[in-house]
Amino acid sequence: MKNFNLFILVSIVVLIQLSALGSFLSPARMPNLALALVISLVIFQGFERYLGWVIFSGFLLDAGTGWPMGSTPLLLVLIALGIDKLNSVANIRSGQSLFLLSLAVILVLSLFIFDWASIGLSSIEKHFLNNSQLTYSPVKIDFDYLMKSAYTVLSGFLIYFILKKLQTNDFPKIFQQKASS
Amino acid sequence: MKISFLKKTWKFIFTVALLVAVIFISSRGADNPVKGFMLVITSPFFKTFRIFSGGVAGFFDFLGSIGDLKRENEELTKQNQELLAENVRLEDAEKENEILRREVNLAPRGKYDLEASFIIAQDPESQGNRFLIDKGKDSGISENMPVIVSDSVLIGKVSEVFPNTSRISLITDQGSAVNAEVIESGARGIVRGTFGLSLILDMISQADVVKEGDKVITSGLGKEFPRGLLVGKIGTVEQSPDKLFQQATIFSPVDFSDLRVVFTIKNF
Repeated sequence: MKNFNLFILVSIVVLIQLSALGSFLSPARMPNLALALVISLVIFQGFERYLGWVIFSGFLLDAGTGWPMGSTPLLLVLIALGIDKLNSVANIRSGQSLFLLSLAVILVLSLFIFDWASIGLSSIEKHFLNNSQLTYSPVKIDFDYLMKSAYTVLSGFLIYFILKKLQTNDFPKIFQQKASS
Repeated sequence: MKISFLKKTWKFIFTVALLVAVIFISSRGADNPVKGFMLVITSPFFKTFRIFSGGVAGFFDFLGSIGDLKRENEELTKQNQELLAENVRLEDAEKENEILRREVNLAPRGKYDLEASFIIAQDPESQGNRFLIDKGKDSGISENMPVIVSDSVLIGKVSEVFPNTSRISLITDQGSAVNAEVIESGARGIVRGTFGLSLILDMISQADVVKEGDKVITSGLGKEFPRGLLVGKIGTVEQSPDKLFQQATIFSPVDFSDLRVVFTIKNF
């Protein structure tokens, strides 16, 4: 997959996460698009191959948040490595419906782990780095959180589908025509 | 295979160590120029996406509310008539107020140096309590400046400033604390944010009488916020004889999930 396509995809996902989503959804129900993107990339072709993009998307997201730079990439890298270790994903990749189900489960679990890990990291940073600006809210499993999980799963499916399309149509046709002429 | 596994492990350990080092350096304030540079590049895109998505969301909201429009129209017409009558009464009160303020030498109200700005992005990790606006140091904004919406309703303060963007923390943020006063009784307390986008008035003396519907304004103590900015109205009051202080919930007139334009008070 071309780096240019990935760059555009990562940038658009982060831009939507930070700016557009707030117009449609309440904060409690907002899906974690960056996490969905990272998980889709890792399941698609492995953690090591897309490590740079995982870190890049994390840094882009940190620019728009109040966290110290590096916090989101650290969480994304740890979760991505955890998923990469799940060998069973490779075994069920061939069965479509079972794959979609497992992708959904992985997304929901990763979201839960990410949210709890965020609280842990915030409290560590607040305690050890004396950063009084950092605040965190506990994870509350209610209807809003269920909706957030559902939206994250749907986003994950969509992003995975886009990744597959980008892989098969690797170069935008308009550029292919210009290059051949 | 063993070598490949070791190489992968070392790569991962190196990456994690590097990110921890970046976090440590960033927490010392070194990330501000980096964030500032990234926001200079990305803020026009944030603004475009935000405005476009706001328009789309508004269109769908309109479609969904067509059925309620007639009923709302009738209610608003009735309210308008009541407000016209109240307006006449308030004009008299305003004239009297100006005379009295001149007599006791108070500064004129509402004469703030305001900087209007759009909200262009929100912090996804803050439960909707932190936003980015499209004005920063270049527009004369600095940290801790109060942020209001129209009609002098306090919504938060500037927490971080970059060259052409700033981050604002709402008063609903858990770390927020605002010195406040209840207009009707003069009771004083501290407005704090709680989980979600809600507010409480804490540390109200047991001797003070606070009731539902009372208006809460900034008291001006501590000089962090000017006096007289509206915070909200009292909801339920929690009173218990075995506690030192009372607590009350506050309903803000602002829909914090639907903010578009805000004003930063640069001078008060």
